[in-house]
Amino acid sequence: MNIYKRNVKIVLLLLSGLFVNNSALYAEQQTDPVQDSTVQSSSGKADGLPESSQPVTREELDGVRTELATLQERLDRTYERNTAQTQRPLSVTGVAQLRYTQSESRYSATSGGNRNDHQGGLSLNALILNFQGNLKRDFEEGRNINFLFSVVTPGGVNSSFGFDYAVKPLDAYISYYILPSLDPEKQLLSVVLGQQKKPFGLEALAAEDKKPTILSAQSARPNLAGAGDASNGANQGAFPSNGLGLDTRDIGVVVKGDLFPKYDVGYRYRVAAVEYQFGLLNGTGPNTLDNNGHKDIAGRLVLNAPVDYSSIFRGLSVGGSFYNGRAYSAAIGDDYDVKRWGADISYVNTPIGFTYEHVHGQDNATKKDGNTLTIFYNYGEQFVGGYKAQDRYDDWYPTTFQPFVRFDWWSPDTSVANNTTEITTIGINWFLAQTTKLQVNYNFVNLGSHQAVTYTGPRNQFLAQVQYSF
Amino acid sequence: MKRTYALIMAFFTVFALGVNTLRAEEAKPKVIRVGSAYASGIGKPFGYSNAGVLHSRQLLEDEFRKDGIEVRWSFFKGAGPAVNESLANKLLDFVFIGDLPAIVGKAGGLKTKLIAAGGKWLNVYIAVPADSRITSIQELRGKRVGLFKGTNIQLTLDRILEANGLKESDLRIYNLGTADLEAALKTKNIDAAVSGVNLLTLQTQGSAKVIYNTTRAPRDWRTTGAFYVTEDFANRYPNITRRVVKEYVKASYWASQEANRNGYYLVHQNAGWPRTTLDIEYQGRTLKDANDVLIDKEFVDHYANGIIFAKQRGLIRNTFDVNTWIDRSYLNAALKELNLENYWK
Repeated sequence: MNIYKRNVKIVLLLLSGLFVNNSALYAEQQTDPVQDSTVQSSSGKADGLPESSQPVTREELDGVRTELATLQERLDRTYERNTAQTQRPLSVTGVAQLRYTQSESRYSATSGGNRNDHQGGLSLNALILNFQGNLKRDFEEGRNINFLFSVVTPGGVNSSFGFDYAVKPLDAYISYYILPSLDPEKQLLSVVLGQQKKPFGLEALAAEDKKPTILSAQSARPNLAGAGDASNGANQGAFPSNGLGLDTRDIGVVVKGDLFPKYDVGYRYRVAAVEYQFGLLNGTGPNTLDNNGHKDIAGRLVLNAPVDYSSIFRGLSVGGSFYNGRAYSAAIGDDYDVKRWGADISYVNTPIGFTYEHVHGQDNATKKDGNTLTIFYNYGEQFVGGYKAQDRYDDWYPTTFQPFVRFDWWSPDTSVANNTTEITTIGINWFLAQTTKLQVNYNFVNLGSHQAVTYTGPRNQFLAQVQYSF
Repeated sequence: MKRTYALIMAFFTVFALGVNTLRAEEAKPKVIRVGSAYASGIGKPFGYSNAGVLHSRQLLEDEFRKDGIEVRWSFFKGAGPAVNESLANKLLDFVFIGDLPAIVGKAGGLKTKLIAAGGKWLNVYIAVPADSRITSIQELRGKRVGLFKGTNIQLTLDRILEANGLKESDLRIYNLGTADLEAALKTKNIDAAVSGVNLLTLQTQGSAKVIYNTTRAPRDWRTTGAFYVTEDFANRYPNITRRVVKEYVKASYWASQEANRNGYYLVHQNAGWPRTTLDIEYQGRTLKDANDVLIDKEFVDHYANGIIFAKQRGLIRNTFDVNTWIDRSYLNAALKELNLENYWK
């Protein structure tokens, strides 16, 4: 038994020896490559080297890894608990307009033309919420399918037309790039299906930050006398809104594209010599069913100066638009012709620019004419895209001032003499933050003698509006 | 209506007077506006190379503080084209920019003077997804290749392709900004990407594999930068221009000292270049070579060749004599004043 115990002790001793040696060998094999990577165990700190040259130790490296793992876990948990998720890439944006209006009223018909009243006040003019994103992204050629859905509370500023804070669809469409869209040197072609802006006019199609005035040109304003829903995103208030409804949306399909693009690689500036868009529309306006068997057609063609970025002719464009449709009138008991055509010229360079647009409309037998000239100057870098995109620590944005003057003539019935409303607007836009601008306008209103008799609404008008978005 | 037009005239008169007041000639500018064609993309305003050091060491700010002149730096996410756009709109006085965008801008009519070299001979890299089987330039034929067009990288790519019997039209070039290019490479939506040291960073992270770099190519194939002043500013403020260039040379001298290599790397790390990337990019190079400010024959030839190359490729329509673009007077004065006339020779 003693011999047995002694043999067991010898075996255990040998095994222990083997275990210790193997551990040492194993440790040596593991540390060699690590040492090659300048990572050492704490006992391997290189003496005599300055602190900045000391190799990092295994313990320090493990510490960093642990911190990274903790941060990753915290990030995952935060993302899961606090982040709204959608099935597809989505961006949510919104716009709000707070407006102050002060109008001079002249009740010519009832009080002998004396200026006897002022009216105005603060109002929430419009709230718009946009959801836009991508339904299919084609990384190879950019034949993407995108969507936009937006809702609006049109608001209002004038009790004559009432406040309207009901939420209504504004834009609702999907678009598809028929031709590849990634290469700026190639032409573009896309199709847009749904409720959208009509392919007509210069002012009506301009992006919001390119519109200097608070109120649209008279010709573009809604035709409230016509059929359909006037939820166009910005109640124009104060003046007779019997325009051509160019600002209002419609439902249909629009094909848009360009030809002969020129790409100035040194500035990443792209301009197409020809831009076009043609649409087939219900013609009844937004959020409304078609009420006849006729589809309206509209189109716009723009010729741009195909020049380099540094050319003085950059931003020079000439455009033409047409609209041909039929609308149902309960009063007539039948459809009547709706025709529009327009021509425009614009020069939008930095820092100066102007736009001029003439539009002509005909609703049944009534012919209408409008002319709008706008001249502006920019102090600041709001419209220099490359300059805005900078790395900065602070929430920097180029403050910009844009003074302008607009002359706007509109005759709602050219067969009636002295029927033109002339509105001259002077104003300034102050782009004070990335998505915020303060607008101040003063409208000098001169009504034709015919309108002065028939219309008793406000005349000269001061407007101030803060538009902010996110 | 007379009252209306009188008010309109008064409105614009006030603005016109305001503009004239702002534009009145002064002996010194209120602000010196410096732009760099590089942004970290992570919201940290740090530049790279000579201009990065000039910015991070606050040399211009220190120099002009006593004059009450503000120094305003801009770091452009849109790289060279965004700098050109800002120059065309008279928003910058000095810029640090790569070779091709500067050539295209000058050919397009920008009134600038090339006043010092900088950021010399940085490598260009071509990377593919980490598991890609592409191993050579020849295999890029017909493949989807991401490139930030209009930057100095494009000039180098064309030279690489030409040496391999290819041209841009043999590839499916996707014009992508730096961030999009990296994302597309990671997600394998492109087969290869051509860019600068940022591709080394992707390789370090394991999401890309560099298959080519210009380390062994002729030095002229690499990208280089330079420091420019607008003709308008130089003509109006020649003494201020001289002082700016002097500080630029001071920064370059500091950046050329091997003793400052850690500090030099730190400037670039702040700009988003990892240490491992810097170790590879500057491997075997002295900082003195990398931060050489001299407008020497090799440098001038590079730009002259670049002009010819850009013209041949249709990137510019008008050529120009590079020597009419270069103005060494400010640099020579600064080198003499600092007793560095022979330092970089």
